[in-house]
Amino acid sequence: MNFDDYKWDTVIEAKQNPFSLRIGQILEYRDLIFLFVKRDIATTYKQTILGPLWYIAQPVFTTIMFMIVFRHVANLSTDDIPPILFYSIGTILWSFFSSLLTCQARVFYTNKDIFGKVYFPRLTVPISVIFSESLKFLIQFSLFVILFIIYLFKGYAGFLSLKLLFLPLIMIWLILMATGLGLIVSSITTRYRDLAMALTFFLSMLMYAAPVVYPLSGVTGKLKMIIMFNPITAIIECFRFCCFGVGEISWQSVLYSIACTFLFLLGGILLFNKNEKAFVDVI
Amino acid sequence: MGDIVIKAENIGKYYRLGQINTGMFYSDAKSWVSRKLGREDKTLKIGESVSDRDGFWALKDICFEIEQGDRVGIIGKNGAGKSTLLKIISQVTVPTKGRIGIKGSVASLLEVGTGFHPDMTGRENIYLNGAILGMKRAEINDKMDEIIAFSEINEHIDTPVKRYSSGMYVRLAFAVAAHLESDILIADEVLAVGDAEFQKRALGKMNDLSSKQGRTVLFVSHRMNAVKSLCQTGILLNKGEIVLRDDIDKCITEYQSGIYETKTSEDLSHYNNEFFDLLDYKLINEDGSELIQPMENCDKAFVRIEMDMKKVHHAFTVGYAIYNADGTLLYWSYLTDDYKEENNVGPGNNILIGEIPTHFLNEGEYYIYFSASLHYIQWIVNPEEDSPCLKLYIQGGLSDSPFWPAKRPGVCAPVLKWTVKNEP
Repeated sequence: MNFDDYKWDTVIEAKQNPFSLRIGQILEYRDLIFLFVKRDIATTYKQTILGPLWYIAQPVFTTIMFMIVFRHVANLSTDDIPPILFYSIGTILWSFFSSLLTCQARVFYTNKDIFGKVYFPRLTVPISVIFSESLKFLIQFSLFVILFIIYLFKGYAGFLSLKLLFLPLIMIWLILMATGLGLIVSSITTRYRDLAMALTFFLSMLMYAAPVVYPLSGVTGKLKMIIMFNPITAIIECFRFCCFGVGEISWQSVLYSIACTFLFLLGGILLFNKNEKAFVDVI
Repeated sequence: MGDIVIKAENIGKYYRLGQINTGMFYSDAKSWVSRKLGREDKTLKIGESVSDRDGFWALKDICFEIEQGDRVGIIGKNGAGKSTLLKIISQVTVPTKGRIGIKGSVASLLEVGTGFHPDMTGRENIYLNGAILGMKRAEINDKMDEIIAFSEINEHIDTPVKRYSSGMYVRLAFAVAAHLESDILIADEVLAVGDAEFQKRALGKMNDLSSKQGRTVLFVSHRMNAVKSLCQTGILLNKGEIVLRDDIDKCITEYQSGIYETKTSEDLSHYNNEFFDLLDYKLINEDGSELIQPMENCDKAFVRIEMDMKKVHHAFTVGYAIYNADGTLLYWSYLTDDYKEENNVGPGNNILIGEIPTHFLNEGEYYIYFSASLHYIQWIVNPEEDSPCLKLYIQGGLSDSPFWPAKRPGVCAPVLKWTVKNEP
């Protein structure tokens, strides 16, 4: 009988569609995604005294630090937003972006033992990373919400607007960008470890080239061009605009950033698919 | 004829050896660009072509079919391509060429306890490990009690697994794997863990899964007894090619005839000294021909030493030391032990034949080291240091008694005399 006469459930071949996401398979493994998320959340702060409080402690300390350094020493403007709100949302957003990107960039490396032994749809791991990092973000974000409400009661009523409803969309935008970039980095690092070394440095450079500790309105000229070139700039400015009603956003910068996001995501998935089978022999 | 559930067509797997790339992005890019432009790749050495640069085919043109309910043992030496084949079937890595069709779900156990997290409890790890292996949460819930019972972890199930002994860890991991519901089970030496008692239970469970539940099993192991008891047919691989696809017994016989050598492969002239040149050192049968291995415990076997004496010394003696696979010395035996007139070596060629006792050694693998010394004066060839070695494999033939059909524990397995005085 010929090979093609059978009805195979699985056909293993050298070549596979590089853009296929195998959504059906991933859905079959949704329990695994859930368990990965649970594992990541439950084990991060095992055997620590503060436990999950660390989720809150990190942004609190960074906000205080930023307030001292950038507000009081460097005297940077905050676009008339109360500094504590300005810096806390900057920290929380940035730490979400950078830790999501870092985790995605390490997907192959941290899971090489499992990947080398068992087959399951590899995209379940990046997806579970999105969920666990988002959960962490929500905990930290609730800290911001509390501060926000306090300021509302103090009379900053101008903050409250329907624009707040756009926040989830902006978050998805940020998640897609970080995941796309992270997957690109993780696929390249299976071959060139250099990128893993460069990542921390690259991320802090990216942070200063984005309006995290200063508002976009505070810079002018060539410097502004460079900052506008950073695709994260538009996301952060949009987020702030929706929260506080101040910020500089233009259609061009938003479209540019969205285009970048799709490019990164497409490249990320392409490289990831190409790598998920071959990397076992490489790493 | 059952349904064919796995069909492999011309499977090939190419590995690049050594460095995966030149290590530098610049030269990688240069090499890629020149290849694309059809120019000579400057990073290659003169005379090299891209395909043979430090690479080799781990599998070459593998074709086979496996039917529903078959239990197939994949055997072969290290590096024959067994693990690579399993990895391809379990989709951990892709073939370089060819294709495989699979009907039904596959569970692969290339390792037990994949993804166990040391900080999580046994129960949490059952869920995680089960899900990684492809089980649904509802399935795991159903089987939880069974898994815990099989693992014998009981009250420790809610303790983090990092506090487990290695035995408990392995038992739990195997228990999860053994309760997988899949049509095809792929297992790679997973039984080579745990203590003897657990291995036996694990093997029993595997047997259960395959014979009673009619599952298709692909099994790789170096332990021929395990393969023999579990599998019906075999695939014998050598250097990436299928040598034999037949009955498991035929495959094992063929495989063993390939690995058991009765002669040492060393260059014996290395041991030449002022007293003698060692010409030959081998194991023989009763009739003087080379020993057929593995031999049965009741077979007669001899060590044959041929040497050219250059200098005779009154205290000269020669013999062998025999060790088991654990490295335990069983005994020394010397020519001078059997002390009699005609047992004197003289100048010129000497052939010495020393017997290996029948019904004495247990089943297993033994190492026989050559030994020569001037008695109480000096070593000439010290078996503990540098000395030629013969391997002896014993399997079966332990006793004629129906009460002793299989291997017993113990270093040796002598059949000894007993007497009974019965006074009714």
